[in-house]
Amino acid sequence: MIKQDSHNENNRFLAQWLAGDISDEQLKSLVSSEEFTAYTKIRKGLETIEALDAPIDSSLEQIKARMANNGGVVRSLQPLRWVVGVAASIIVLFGMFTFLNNDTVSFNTNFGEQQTIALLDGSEVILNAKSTLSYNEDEWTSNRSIELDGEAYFKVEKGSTFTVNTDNGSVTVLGTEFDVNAFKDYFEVTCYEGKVRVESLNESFILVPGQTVRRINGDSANQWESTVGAPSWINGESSFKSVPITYVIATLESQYDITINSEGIDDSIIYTGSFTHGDLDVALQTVFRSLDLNYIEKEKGNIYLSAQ
Amino acid sequence: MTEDQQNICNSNTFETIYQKYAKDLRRFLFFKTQDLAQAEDILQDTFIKLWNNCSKVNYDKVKSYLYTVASNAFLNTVKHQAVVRKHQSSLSHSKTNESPEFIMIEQEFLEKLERVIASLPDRQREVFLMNRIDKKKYKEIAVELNISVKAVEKRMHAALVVMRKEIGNI
Repeated sequence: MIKQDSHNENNRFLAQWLAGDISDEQLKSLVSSEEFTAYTKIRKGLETIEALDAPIDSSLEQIKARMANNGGVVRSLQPLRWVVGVAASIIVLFGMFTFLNNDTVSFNTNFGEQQTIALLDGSEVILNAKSTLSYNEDEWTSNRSIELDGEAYFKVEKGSTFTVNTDNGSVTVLGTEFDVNAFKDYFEVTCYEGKVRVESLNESFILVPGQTVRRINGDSANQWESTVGAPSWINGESSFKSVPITYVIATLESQYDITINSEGIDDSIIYTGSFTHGDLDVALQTVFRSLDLNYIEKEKGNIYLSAQ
Repeated sequence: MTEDQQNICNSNTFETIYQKYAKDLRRFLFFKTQDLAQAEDILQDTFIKLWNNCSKVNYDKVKSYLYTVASNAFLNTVKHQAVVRKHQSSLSHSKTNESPEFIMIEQEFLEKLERVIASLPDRQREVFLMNRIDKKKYKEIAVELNISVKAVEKRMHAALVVMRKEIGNI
């Protein structure tokens, strides 16, 4: 066969050979062996250029896969994975805390209100007016712990330690009946049954039935005994034993939703006695007449005191 | 540059290094091995070794580390292949080591070829790149350029003739 001149402008066989339409054998018959070698090498060169220019991402994927499979000293290519784990844990924990917070049961009483609360273990709490009580439902079985702001009477079922936390101190019992009054800086605990331990300002008191401990405004604590079987407020009456008048006024305010202006009197007066929760006039009379104080309701709910 | 970006154990840094050097390293390995698959294997081994030693390798010396590891890996495969060949020749004396089809692609040749492609006349280069890079068939190129398939083939043929002329006899 006569060798064709590949330089002829009208020839197309090299293109056809490169595309695979013409075989190597056919090309061999068309060009000199020297040219055939050259074109074969050019073709391989082109293939090599293309292969070497090809993206290297697929190799990276294989490297990653090999790293992941090797195990042992080979670490994962994503060392940040633990960060993701930690982040996930934080989110889970955060979620749990949010969840736990949601499980914090809270009770509030308004002016003059009382509320009886049954706890999960059968214990009973009677919440006096203007008081807040909260506890964590989830942790209750392992940790009987209650936060109290205000006054409450507890009838605690026997069981694990039962703690009442207040801003002024804590009360710890095993199973008993007691009253806690933690109102601002007033802190009073009376034991009605069993034994109660009171922790306040690094002091510890053990109360037996009938005993009361009280600390007002961080002063030294007072302790005394009485014979009542339950706090009077449960029966609709607030009782006081040598209590500064300001706390009596505060109790009146929380029972009747009133504001008592005591600027006109000596607020160091000590009061012993009680007032009813059922009738504001009677209550005001009982407290202030006995102390020789005048009271006048200038506007609705605003009572002004003055010395006689 | 932050500490993280210099820490090869950081997967982002590792990938950046890979993207920066892998192609050149693969090319380097190809000229040594004359085998794309083998170059690929050594490339992967090299980067896995870098990853396993990421805490010991200085970021500023990572390039020389890669080329050293790659060269050593290549020499090891050469040694291994020598053993394999020795074993094969002891089994069969009739086989020759080199296949008659074997064509050596030297770095100089490849670089010359790349230069020639870049300097092809526009009409030829256009068709050539569409075919070789974009992997388009002559028919598709013809439709796209609104010319006949015959014209496409003529340009391709001419491009190959130019390459052959420029590179000279091999």
